[in-house]
Amino acid sequence: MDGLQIWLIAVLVIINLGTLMWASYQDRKARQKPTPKIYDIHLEGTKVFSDVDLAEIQKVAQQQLQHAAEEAAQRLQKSLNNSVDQVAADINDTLSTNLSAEFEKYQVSLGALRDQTIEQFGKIQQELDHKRIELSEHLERQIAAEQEKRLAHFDDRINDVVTSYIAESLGNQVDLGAQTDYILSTLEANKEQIKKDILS
Amino acid sequence: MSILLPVDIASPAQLSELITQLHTYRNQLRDAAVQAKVKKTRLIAPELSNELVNLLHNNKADPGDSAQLELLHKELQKVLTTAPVVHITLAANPGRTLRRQLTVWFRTQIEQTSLLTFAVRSDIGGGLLLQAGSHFYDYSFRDRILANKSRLMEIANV
Repeated sequence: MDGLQIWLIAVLVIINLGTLMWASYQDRKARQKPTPKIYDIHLEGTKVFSDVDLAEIQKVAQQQLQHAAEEAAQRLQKSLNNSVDQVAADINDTLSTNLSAEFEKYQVSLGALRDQTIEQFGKIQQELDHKRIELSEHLERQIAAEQEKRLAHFDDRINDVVTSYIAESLGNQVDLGAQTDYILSTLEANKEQIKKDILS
Repeated sequence: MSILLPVDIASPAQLSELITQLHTYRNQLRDAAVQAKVKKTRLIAPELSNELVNLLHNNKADPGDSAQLELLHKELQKVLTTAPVVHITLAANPGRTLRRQLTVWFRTQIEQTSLLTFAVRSDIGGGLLLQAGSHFYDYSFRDRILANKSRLMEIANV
């Protein structure tokens, strides 16, 4: 609920209160309407009405006054009722209009927020996927590197083992004469490659 | 001129020694010629080493022809600077026969003036390592064994 709505409701409340106060004032005014003053005229020897007539006249006048007051009160009541209904209807219309507009704004905002949230979640999902792929690739590279390192270490160890095994087992007992055929056939088998490399 | 090196002259050091011998021989021959001319005696040629004899025989050069000796000297120097040098490593010190076989093989199959050096490494087990310039070949038993790691246990059990 924003400031405009609060202001409108306050204005409506003030109008309502004013109307009620005006009605109350009118009611009090009607009730306090000065009753016709009765003047006691003593005109000795010049009495127009007798005491009986005077009483009758006073009674009639009072009845007429009471009747007028009742009619005024009824009209005021009717007017007040109409005003209250009108004000209530106006308040309802205003509230309905404002609430509809606000509700539409709220729906639009909610929709925008939802879209934004979906977009943000999409971005987060993309970043997460990207990060996951990166991490996965990094991990694979690390595993491959570690595997290569261990294999290289294993190869080194095997090389050392084989080298020392050969050195210890053969020692100085190598018979090159027995290897001559192997050496010459190996050279013959690789002759073209050796020739190409040496003469290039 | 295509020169034929003696089979026992395999390495650059041996060739260098042969060139020195030839140079010395030429000087001695010249001195002997001058001496014979002065003393009016018969020319007595200086003695030739076996390597020089083989060199002159292989290249059909006359030991008394100074011009031919000069040409041969120049050719040998050219071979020393331009011939391909192959370094061979074997599991044991090669005997004369194997040195000759390898020298002949390289000079007949690869290049006529190939020069060889020999080294020994007992840890290769057998076969040979070859190095020529920036090229390296490992034909050793050790390399064969390492190339077939799956058969290591079999070898170890033997």
